[in-house]
Amino acid sequence: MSENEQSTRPPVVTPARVIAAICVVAPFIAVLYVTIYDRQKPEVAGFPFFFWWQLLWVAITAGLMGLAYYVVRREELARKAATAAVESADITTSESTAGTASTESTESTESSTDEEEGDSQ
Amino acid sequence: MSNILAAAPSDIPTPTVGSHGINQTELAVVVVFFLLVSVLGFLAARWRKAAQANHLEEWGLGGRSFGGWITWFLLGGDLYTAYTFVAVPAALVGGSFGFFAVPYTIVVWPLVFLFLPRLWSVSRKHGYVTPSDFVRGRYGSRGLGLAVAIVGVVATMPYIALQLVGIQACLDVIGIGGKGSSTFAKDLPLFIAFAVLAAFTYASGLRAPAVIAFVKDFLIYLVIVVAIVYIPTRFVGGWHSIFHLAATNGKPNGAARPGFLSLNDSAGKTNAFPYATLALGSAMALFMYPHAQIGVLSTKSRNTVRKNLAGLSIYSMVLGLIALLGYMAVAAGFGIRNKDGSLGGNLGGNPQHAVPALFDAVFPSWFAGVAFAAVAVGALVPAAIMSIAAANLFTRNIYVDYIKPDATPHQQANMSKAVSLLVKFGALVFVLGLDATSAINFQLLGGVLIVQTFPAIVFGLFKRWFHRWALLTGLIVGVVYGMLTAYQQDKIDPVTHKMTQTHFGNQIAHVPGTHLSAYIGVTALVLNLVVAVVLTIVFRVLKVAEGVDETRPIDYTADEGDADLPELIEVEPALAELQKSA
Repeated sequence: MSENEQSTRPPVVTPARVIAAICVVAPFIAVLYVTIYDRQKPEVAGFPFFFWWQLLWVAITAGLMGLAYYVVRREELARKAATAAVESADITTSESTAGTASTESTESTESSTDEEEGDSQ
Repeated sequence: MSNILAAAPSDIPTPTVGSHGINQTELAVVVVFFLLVSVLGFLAARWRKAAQANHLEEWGLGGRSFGGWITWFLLGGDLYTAYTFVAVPAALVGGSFGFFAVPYTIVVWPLVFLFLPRLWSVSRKHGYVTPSDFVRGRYGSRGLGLAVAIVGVVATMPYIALQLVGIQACLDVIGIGGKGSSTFAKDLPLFIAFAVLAAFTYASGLRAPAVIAFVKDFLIYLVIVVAIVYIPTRFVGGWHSIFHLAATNGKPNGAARPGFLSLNDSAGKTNAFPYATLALGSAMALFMYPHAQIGVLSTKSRNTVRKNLAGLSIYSMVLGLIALLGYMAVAAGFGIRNKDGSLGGNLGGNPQHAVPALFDAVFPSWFAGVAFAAVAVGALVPAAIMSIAAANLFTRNIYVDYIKPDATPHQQANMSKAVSLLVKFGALVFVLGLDATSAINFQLLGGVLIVQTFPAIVFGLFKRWFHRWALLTGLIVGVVYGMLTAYQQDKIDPVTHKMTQTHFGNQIAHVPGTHLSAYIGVTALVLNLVVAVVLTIVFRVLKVAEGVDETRPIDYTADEGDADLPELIEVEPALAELQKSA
């Protein structure tokens, strides 16, 4: 989210996308690299390692998916806000405050989107 | 002493399946629930009349309006089928290998996270309703679209077959049929299941699955909660006992069989690679099925599914616990073998009976009836949706596009109905022709086929690198290799070493040129990709025409509220007609 992004194409690799990528890739490694958990001990609550490791990763994957959604969505909205700001060509504030303004509008857009989705349910 | 902590036995009785006559109470409860659900289907169609009901997107995709909660239920319907309740626990009767369904449902969510938003956006932008629509538009290739449609229709059949087997298992345990010597008496539960499915689809169509899905989910959750909370309490020593008794086949002081507490078999050899490829292949296949796409494309915005992924993981957790019902049945003393090792035992040689037999043994008859109704309705609803999704795919992308472009709405509607019946007959053929004691093989066989459409659909969402004819050739090679290899797999009983089935007996096969075994679907997919990559380079060098891409990069990020989204597309008259007459 540097100031000069608005004039050029947004970068493909961003911190948010790196985090999301890690969240997405981690479950694949954890459960498809079977040799790391194909054993009986240690048991937890009566469950052999083989079983509780996989069930644990169900929960971890849920958390990772939540995190990935959060960072990707945040960035998506920030980009939209930035594009909208450029298109309107109506920036009266200085470069440095534009960043904060777009963050604010991001948050408000996000909350209003959530409200809309909540209403429709 | 292999058991440091000897597991205590349970007090669960283990009568042989079918040894009692028809359990009247169970049967009555199941029949009542069938009738209730069918009536609800009719009523729901009248309640839920949309303002523009004659739009395909309204009829088939609920107006693309579903938010978080409904999406959660709809997608759950794709996952919670007889696969979860009957096939997966049955696979665990044979050992921990059947647990691959858990990593399958773990990795399916990150996979979905990656590509579904893009599929939603481009479909919304161009009015695509089926994956075949998308592929045709993206690659400008009618041939590729046709191939994707045909594979979709055929691959759905074994998946429906799995649902029929699930219902059959419940009816067997209730005591209908099963004991007669004639084929008809033996397969009576299967024919009943088929007849009910056909009637059910005809009565309810696609109009009311949302309402029925709520009933179905309520029933299923009730049974799940009771089963996974109550049944372990019947084992002194809880989960520890369940695992160790399962390993010893219910004998408190027996030696643990290999392959139950981890994957390692008696030779200490691990089944890691087949296990991982089954999980990965199944995950890649799931959202390629025509019926699964309905749940996805009916959501309100491109991020609805992503937003719900954390919640959808609950499904995977519950699936894991249901899978362990298979272990509970074995721990209680149910098994598929006689004392001399031959097939039989109190499950009648059929592991699909494990969960119904366990319910029958631990629950009072009325609640066992409720549980069977949950399993049966939980198999009927997806089976109905699958057969209609496949029929619509056929009518839209094969019949109208290729056979009769000028078909009247009435003709299209009739075609859809006929094909939906035909798809169910196809499923019946699968059940009768293949070994129904390993139902999970049906789903895996469908997966071998449908996963071959993955490159065209998913890679196409990101980059249009592949050449259309290369993708088509790869798909054909993958399907042919997959089917031939699956055909060659005989099933040999691991204990008696007798051949129990001559073809399609196993979905795991040796990978040529390696010392590994893997899920045939994944091996075929790799072959498919190699062919597609090589031929793409060849065709590009030869400058073979690429076809016109009707999508633009920006279409893949379109979202609700964008100014330039088209109106929901004009009705497909056949569907309106079908809706009226159903």
